[in-house]
Amino acid sequence: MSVFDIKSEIGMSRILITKEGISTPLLVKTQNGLESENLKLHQIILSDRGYLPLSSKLSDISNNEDYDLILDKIPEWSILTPRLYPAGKNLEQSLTYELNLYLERISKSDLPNAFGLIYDPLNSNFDYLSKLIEFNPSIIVLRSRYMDAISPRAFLESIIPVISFIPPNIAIYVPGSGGIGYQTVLIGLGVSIVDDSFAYRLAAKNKILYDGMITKIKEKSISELVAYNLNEVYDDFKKLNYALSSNNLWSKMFKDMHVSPNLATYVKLIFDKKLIEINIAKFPTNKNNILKFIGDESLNHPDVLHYQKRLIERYNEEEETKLIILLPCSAKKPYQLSRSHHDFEKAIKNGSRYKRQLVSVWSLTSPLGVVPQNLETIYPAMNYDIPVTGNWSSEEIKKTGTLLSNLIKKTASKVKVIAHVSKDYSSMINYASKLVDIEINWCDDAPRTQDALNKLSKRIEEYLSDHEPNIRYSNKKIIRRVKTINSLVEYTHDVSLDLLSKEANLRIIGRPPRPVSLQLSKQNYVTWDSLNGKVTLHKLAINEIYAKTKNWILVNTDELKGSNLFGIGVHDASTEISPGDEVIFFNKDKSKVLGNGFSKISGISMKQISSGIVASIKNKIK
Amino acid sequence: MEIINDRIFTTELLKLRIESNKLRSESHDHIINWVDNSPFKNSKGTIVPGKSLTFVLPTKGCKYAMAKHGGCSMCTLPMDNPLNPSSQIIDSLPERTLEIFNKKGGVEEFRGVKFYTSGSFLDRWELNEDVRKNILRKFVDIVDEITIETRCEFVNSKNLDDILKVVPAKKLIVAIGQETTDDEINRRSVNKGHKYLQFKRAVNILKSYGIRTKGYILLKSIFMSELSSIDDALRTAKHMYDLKVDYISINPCYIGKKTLMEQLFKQKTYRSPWLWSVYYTTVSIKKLVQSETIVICDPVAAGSERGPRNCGICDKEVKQQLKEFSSTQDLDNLIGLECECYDVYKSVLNTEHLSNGMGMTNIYE
Repeated sequence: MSVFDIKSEIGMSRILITKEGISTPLLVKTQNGLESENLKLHQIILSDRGYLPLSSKLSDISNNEDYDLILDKIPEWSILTPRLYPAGKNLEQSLTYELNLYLERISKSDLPNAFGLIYDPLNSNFDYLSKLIEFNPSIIVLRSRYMDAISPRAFLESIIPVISFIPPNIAIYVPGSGGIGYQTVLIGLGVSIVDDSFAYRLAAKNKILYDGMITKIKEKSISELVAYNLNEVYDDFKKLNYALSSNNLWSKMFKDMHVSPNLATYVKLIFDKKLIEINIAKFPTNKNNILKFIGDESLNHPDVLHYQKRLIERYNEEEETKLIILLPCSAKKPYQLSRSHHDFEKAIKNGSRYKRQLVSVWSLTSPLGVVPQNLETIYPAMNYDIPVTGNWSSEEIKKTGTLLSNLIKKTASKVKVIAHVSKDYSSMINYASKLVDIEINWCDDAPRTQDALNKLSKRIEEYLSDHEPNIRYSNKKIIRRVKTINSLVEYTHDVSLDLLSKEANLRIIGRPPRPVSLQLSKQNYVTWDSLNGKVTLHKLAINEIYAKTKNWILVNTDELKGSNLFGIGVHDASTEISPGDEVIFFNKDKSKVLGNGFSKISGISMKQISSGIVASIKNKIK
Repeated sequence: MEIINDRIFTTELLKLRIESNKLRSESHDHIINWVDNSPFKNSKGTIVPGKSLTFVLPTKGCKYAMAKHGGCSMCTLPMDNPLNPSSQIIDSLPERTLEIFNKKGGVEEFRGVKFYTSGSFLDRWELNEDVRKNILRKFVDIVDEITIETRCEFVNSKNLDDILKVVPAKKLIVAIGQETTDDEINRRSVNKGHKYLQFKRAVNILKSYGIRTKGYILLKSIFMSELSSIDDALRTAKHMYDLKVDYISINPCYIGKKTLMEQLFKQKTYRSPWLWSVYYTTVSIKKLVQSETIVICDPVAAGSERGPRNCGICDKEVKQQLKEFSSTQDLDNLIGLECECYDVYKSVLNTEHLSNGMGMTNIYE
């Protein structure tokens, strides 16, 4: 078993940690062997004579070296390597021989707890990789040409499937590939160990990492360039770590694209390959960082794509909705607390009066596209910042316009949609209105002027004159919140609690921003934290939705114990689970609900590992 | 597990050997020769630099290279030799080598001669007993040392008794291209065709006759990384030292035409070793053997694209210092060599074993 556990999973990236506190990502120094701050990797050849250590003797030539040192025991943190590596055209059989021999020698070795094995994506298949994984390595080294010296397409095509295949608690090391931007891409793809050799190789070509870009320079010596490049690489690695822990790695990747055209190709290919879509469930649904969506690339930010996927798949309008008002977004989050939305709400109320329950509000924004009011408190709707220019790119128009039309088609095909937005949104709305019917209530550049607001009120009043609410709520004050909670539960579990039908027996205790408790017949039912959009189900609610939730984990026992669920306890898990999702625990054959909690890692990863914490346990049902 | 011949790569070697043999001339009489500085021991055992003249005799070349395994994977030497030299050419070698010797400076200039054949001096298929004895006879009284090269299998009592009829054992140095004492590398990379045990046996036979021995170490054979080739060179040196081999010659690979090494080089999967590896290996081995063994390293094609090389700036100096060291055995000539590319080298060295394997060809491009 790998000595690493997953501390956190952020998309394809993960932070791994050992019991001793060795934590990834690691940047390995390459001057005297391979070592990072708290870890030294040994390179050991598996030969017919025994374990041959390749030491970094170069740093200190001593008279007392044992020139033919053969180890009788493999040291911890050794990377075991084949004796020979005949890679080349017409040598496939020889390579197969060496690789099989390598497997055989590993199988005969008394392996330490922590060790690494080598896998060559270009010359071996997944069967071979499976065999390597069966030895329980903690590190798998991907043998590859350096990232900056191979076609980005070839590199990505060779390593991406492999990374997905390797259990996420095994640290992947791609030696020789790293450096500013490249290390961001590698860590973003799920690699855990990189090294600093790029800084040296760049210097050898008289190139420098200056101001975040690779520049050729002749005025400095190689040593000066090495020193400078190293400093940049290590400094960047610190930033990378921070970006990873604060869930800003992909924003950093977009920024780093400008290091070189080659690197930009990598980043663009990652999106072209729809890689994110395949791994979307690995991206968290609940974070508290602020995402800075600066360029067009943010349209492909995984958290944006993840939000949009769930929105389309899981968001539903209440049956009673007769009118949707599209509004501009605001800098303040949630939008409904902004002054502008306060004014809009007033206008909507003026127009709808006692029929307010028939009106829904969706805000339009880039790059998220659409944020229904009920989902305003979730990540990333609560957590982003964008430059406001009023100019939408064609890509932005296409993507957000398509999302809007799809959402209307799915949830509101029989509902009137009125756009109360400035001309800044015209292109996006026009794009969507080619696909669905949207009435445009243009307000030129000032949707908040009294004239515009009056016009909106009047239009709402006109439209609703033909509609009357079917339901008379006994407690109208709580309906907005009940609808919000209902949407949030659907967004999380893809199951509706159908709260409106129980409205008479519901009551809400507490007021945002403090967590709000929804009670059904005076029993705790759902808790909602408006600060992060998180909903927590109580026993009553769990019992209602368990059969249909997409967030299920089958546990190997009939009873939950402790406050965390470990990988070894997972029998199976839904691949729809994302880190941060509320999950429902079942026994092995799903015949009994055991409780609920929150996932630490994705369901995809849960299925691949057998150690470490995979979820926290919130409620146990006996 | 699939059963595969562990030396399947030798079919490629054979293919290339057949191609290279097509480029060889049927017969020629050209005796390649050059002068180099060599270390000689004086009567007190101290090293005195002197000159020696090396001949490459136009024999048929290495018989093993013509075998069905295609010969050694790095070897291109037989290309210099004719396929079928006439008996007149072979018979004329004693006279003609002496002629060249005298023309180049004679006894005043040279303390030693070396006879290479791109094969084995002791192989009767290349040189019959009379010719080889006649060659030795011509030089036995005019030089202090005569070096001949041979494969292990020709080191036997019959051959040695024969040549010792004309040359005293103390004047003779027999060089054997063992390349590595790791049988795995020898079998599945170098394709040398003989094991460490055979080398041991050969050295012991030579020792029993009082003949000095020279062991060749190959640095960076195919299918090996720079780091593992350094490791192997040091291990091989240790074994040779333990066998009390008198001379250790470090031979870094250069990329010869029509070799598998050249094919890999063209596929950008093989790079000839860095001169820093050569330097480091030489210094380390000398530190190991001290004055008991003479360590020689005069890398072929150093500094060129196909030879051992560094960044291009320091190559000449490193090569020069290695030559200087080889003739003086003075480590001071080597210690302290510096170049900015050394740090780049170390970084590449430490990662290459896990990544590119046989080396990046374009570090400085």
